[in-house]
Amino acid sequence: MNKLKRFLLVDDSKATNFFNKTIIEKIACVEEIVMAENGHDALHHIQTGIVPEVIFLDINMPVMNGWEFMTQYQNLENKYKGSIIVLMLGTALNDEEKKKAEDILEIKEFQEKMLNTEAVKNILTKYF
Amino acid sequence: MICRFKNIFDTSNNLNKIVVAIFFMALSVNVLAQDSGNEEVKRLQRAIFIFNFAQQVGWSDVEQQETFKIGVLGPDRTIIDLQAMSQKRKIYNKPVEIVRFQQIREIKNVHLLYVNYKYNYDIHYLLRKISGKHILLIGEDYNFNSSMINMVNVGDSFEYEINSNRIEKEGFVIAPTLKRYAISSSEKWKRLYRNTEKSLNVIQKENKEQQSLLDNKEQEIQNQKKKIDVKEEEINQQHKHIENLYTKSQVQQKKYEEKILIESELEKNIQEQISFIKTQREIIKESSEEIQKQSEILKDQKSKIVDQEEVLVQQTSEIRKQKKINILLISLVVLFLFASFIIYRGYVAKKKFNKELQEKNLAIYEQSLELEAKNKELEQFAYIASHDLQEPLNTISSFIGLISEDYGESFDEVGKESLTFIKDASIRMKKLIDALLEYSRLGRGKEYTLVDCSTVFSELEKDLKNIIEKTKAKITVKNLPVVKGSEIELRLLLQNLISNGIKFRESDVEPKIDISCVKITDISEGPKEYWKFAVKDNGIGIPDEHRERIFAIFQRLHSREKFQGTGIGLAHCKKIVESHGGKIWLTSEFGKGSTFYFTIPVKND
Repeated sequence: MNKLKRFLLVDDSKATNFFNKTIIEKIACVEEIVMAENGHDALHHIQTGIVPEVIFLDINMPVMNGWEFMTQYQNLENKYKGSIIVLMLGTALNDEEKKKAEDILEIKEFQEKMLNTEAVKNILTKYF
Repeated sequence: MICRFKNIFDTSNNLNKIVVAIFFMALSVNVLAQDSGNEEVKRLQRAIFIFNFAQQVGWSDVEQQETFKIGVLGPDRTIIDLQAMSQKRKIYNKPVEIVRFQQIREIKNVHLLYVNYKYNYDIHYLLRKISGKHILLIGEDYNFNSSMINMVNVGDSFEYEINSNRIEKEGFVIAPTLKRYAISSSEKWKRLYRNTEKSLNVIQKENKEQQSLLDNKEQEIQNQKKKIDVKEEEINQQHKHIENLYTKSQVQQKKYEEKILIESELEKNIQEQISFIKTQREIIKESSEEIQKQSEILKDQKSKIVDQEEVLVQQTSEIRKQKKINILLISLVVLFLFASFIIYRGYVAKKKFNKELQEKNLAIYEQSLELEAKNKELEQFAYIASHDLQEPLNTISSFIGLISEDYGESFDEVGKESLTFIKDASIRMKKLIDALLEYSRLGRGKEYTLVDCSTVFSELEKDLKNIIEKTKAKITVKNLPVVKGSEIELRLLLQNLISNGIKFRESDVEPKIDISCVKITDISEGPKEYWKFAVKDNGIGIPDEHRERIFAIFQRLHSREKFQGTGIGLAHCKKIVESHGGKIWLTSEFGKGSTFYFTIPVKND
């Protein structure tokens, strides 16, 4: 399996980002892991022209949350799109949120916030 | 006064004394000479005696009086004699007035009173009555010494006795001459009385003889007269006879003429009678017609009266009816008024009550709103708190997992054990937070459906299969109903109670759980029907003092080492039951087991 180029972790918790990065690095399936503190930060990264294969997106964040990010993301030029977006969940979504998430085509997966190696491997086998 | 009276007596009566003395002397001679006097002489004598007595007694007040008054008691003829005497004589130079009294109590204003025994006046009573009135009482034929001056008839004249004590007591002064000729002993008085009676008898005898002589003479004269009458009768008869004979022929002639005259008159009379009868007949006829008319009118009137009576009867009955109706109406009106009054009162009371109720309801509503808001706030708080707590906890437990996986082997024993404790604690904390989160979510979704508790139980049995088999628990179920409520919550409720029953037991006891349900009616808040569930176990039981505590959140009665759990199970149960409108409680015998009861309303409001 070829190494993927880039993953983007979007979470305001440095601990979470650090943990998830450690887990992903354990598998050693990607060349670069980029971290963003919020949606705004993440958008900025994407707009610099570096399009990640997978975006792990938290919902509750300051400045720009997950949902706002998704709205902005959908308005981007097509050349910036095409990432697999995994929605990271702290607790279970309520019905409203679930419906909202399902309506957004770009969101492909839901995942518990703290990753484990198994989950990452599942995603890789599913989409790459 | 008495002195003056004495003077008068002394001066004027010297002459009088002599005259009276002579007079009495003459009288007594007279009496002796003429044994048989007549009644008139006696009466004159009596009057003279009475006048003389008056002249012989002194009255103190006689000078002031215009007349000298003599009273006679009873229907006595003596009054006539006294009146005759008063025309001729004066007493103390005063004209004399004679008065008659019929009864003793009438006596007043007299100087002297005369009374005869034959009129039966009680002398004692009389004396008592006149006592002090200055009246001189002269009695006749009374007993000796019973009057003031008592006189008795002897022949044509009178004897007398004086009761000087009584007289002087009344204040009279008696001339000595009067005393002198008075009879002074009762013996003499009695004798005189007898003499009088004797002489009277003799006189009466003589009178009788003379009377009989006179009667004889009269008889003779009568006989003679009768003889003359007979003769006269004879002559008259002869005379009549002759006259009859003479008149007879004349009479017959006359009779004949008269007859003719009478007959013609008779005829005339008869004619008149006939015409009269005729007119009478007509009159009768008319009157009978009239009567008939009258009777017809009467008949008419009678029938009219009958009609009127009928009308009257009808009217009275109508009036009665009307009366009854009136009474009925009045009573109805009264009833109506009473009823409306009561209704009005009730209405007022109800209105007031309603108002109060409304106010209370409003207060309760406001309170409940407030409570609801607070509850929501609290639940929100619990939710947010637990939600936000989850994240750092997840981070911690994830890192611990990472550390123990990557570096665990390089730790020494203390490090490894510490890591285990941290891991356990974080797991427990995660459970607590999850339970809290769940607790805060309970009762939020109020979408109730019909839940068949039997089905719920059989599903639960499958879920709990592992633990049931492991503990060899025996669970029996009876009469579980279909209730309205949240299926998830009801399942959680039953699950908690069953797993508590299994969990809290002595290790060597096989758990036995009976679940049953009955329908009850609670009247404390108006009649309301409930399903009353009972979950009975044979566990360790719960001491009385902890019965309330066990329903509080995170309350534990035992160490975690002995019985695992968060201590939120019964809090969940309580919240579920109460959010369904029921109650939860328990009975327990320590060491033998507990029974948890909870109610769910048959119908939700």
